Amino acid sequence: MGFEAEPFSVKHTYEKPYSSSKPVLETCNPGRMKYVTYDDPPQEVRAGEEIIFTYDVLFTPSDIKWASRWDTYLLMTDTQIHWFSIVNSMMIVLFLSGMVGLIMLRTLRRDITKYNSLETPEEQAEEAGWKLVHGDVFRPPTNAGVLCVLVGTGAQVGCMFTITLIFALAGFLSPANRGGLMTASVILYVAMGFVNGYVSGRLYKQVKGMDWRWNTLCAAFAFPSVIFVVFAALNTMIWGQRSSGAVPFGTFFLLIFLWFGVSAPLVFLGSYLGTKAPVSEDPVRTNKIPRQVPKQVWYMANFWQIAVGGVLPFGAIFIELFFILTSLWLHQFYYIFGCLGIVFTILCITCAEISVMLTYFQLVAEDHRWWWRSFFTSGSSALYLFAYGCHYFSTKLEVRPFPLTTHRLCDCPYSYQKGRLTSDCLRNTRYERLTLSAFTIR
Amino acid sequence: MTNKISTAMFFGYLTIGSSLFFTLTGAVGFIASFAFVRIIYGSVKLD
Repeated sequence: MGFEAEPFSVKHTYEKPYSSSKPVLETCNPGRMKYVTYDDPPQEVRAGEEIIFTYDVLFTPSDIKWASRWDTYLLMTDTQIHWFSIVNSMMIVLFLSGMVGLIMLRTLRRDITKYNSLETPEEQAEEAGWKLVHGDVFRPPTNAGVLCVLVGTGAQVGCMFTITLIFALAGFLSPANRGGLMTASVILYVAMGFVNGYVSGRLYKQVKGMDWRWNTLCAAFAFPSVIFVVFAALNTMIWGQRSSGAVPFGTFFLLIFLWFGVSAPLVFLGSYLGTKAPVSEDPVRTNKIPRQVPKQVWYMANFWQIAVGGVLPFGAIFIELFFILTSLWLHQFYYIFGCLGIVFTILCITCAEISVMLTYFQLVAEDHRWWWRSFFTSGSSALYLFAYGCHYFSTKLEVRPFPLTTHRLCDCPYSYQKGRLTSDCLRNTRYERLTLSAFTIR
Repeated sequence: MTNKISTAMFFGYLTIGSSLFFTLTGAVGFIASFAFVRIIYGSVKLD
């Protein structure tokens, strides 16, 4: 997509008398296949001279694909910072992988050889370390059902995000069409309800849960209703403001339909299949009476382990997070899906590694309550994400009264964006209210 | 008035995003640890 403007100076002649509504030109007439060329006599500038302005448009096909038509305009200006972001994440993942590799290959192998070479009961009685808690590690945790639902939802979000990314990378979702990206995410989220049901159902059976119907219901409705309540509250608020940013009634009901009519049945189906599928037996028998957990050193307490666990996954993404927040709130285009894909992969690896590592330390310290902690260890990065969002809000965003915003928003470097934003602004003015585009870069 | 609404929008969507992120990262960590625990206890010999 692009155009070239070529000026010509032509002394136009026309069939007299001149009709202002339908002039018939002799020098420029598509009906007679007469186009303006450089051979035409130029227009002289003299007092009292008549000047006729015309234009020709010549369309030439290009070999640029439709999906990548915006790429010229979206060329990154700050490639460096994205590379920095990727290098930063890579460092974190290398550091962690080194640690985990060390544990896996040296310590763990040594442990296992040692444990397996102990023959006599006396020797076994003296042993220490993670083997001691073997009778307790597979005891289902308290509130196992909630854990299953959360893990199922996490799997759903993960699949949704992965597939959306793949689509975006394949060029199906043009970044110029932000609504398309959003729609695709919502539809994929709904479709991935199946994964949610399957994972939570399977895990629920693994932890010997009794009431799988209740679990399925929770998987289908608990987490989505939290999201829905927040979403509906926000939407009601902007409805009250008669803003064009509000989701219209039709879309609202469509969302409810997608939730109850598509997502919930898929969760049920997934849960049914997950519960039917055979689960593997626990490798170790669980003791009847829980073993007492020895007194732990201060840094092995839940609080510290969880607080430390979230830092690294967050550290792997926080530079990219800046661009995502900026694209969402300041109407910038986010289009570097390749970068996002790399960072997302690194995030998943980091989460897995940090959680495995801290679980290992916990078991070595003979603390067998690892279920919930392993979830919170990596999950706590969400707290850091929230805190970063607050920081971003207080330093980068400034809520301004409307007219100023109009000026700033229309001050965009790209002309096509200008067109779009101006129309946004006009629409906003008509409602005489501010929608969420009322942020500017400080 | 409008400032309040914009602020509420920001924090509302931030909350939704963070809670989705929470389940995602938590699930990844949990599944990895779950597999890890099964593997290490599966490889030791027990009476």
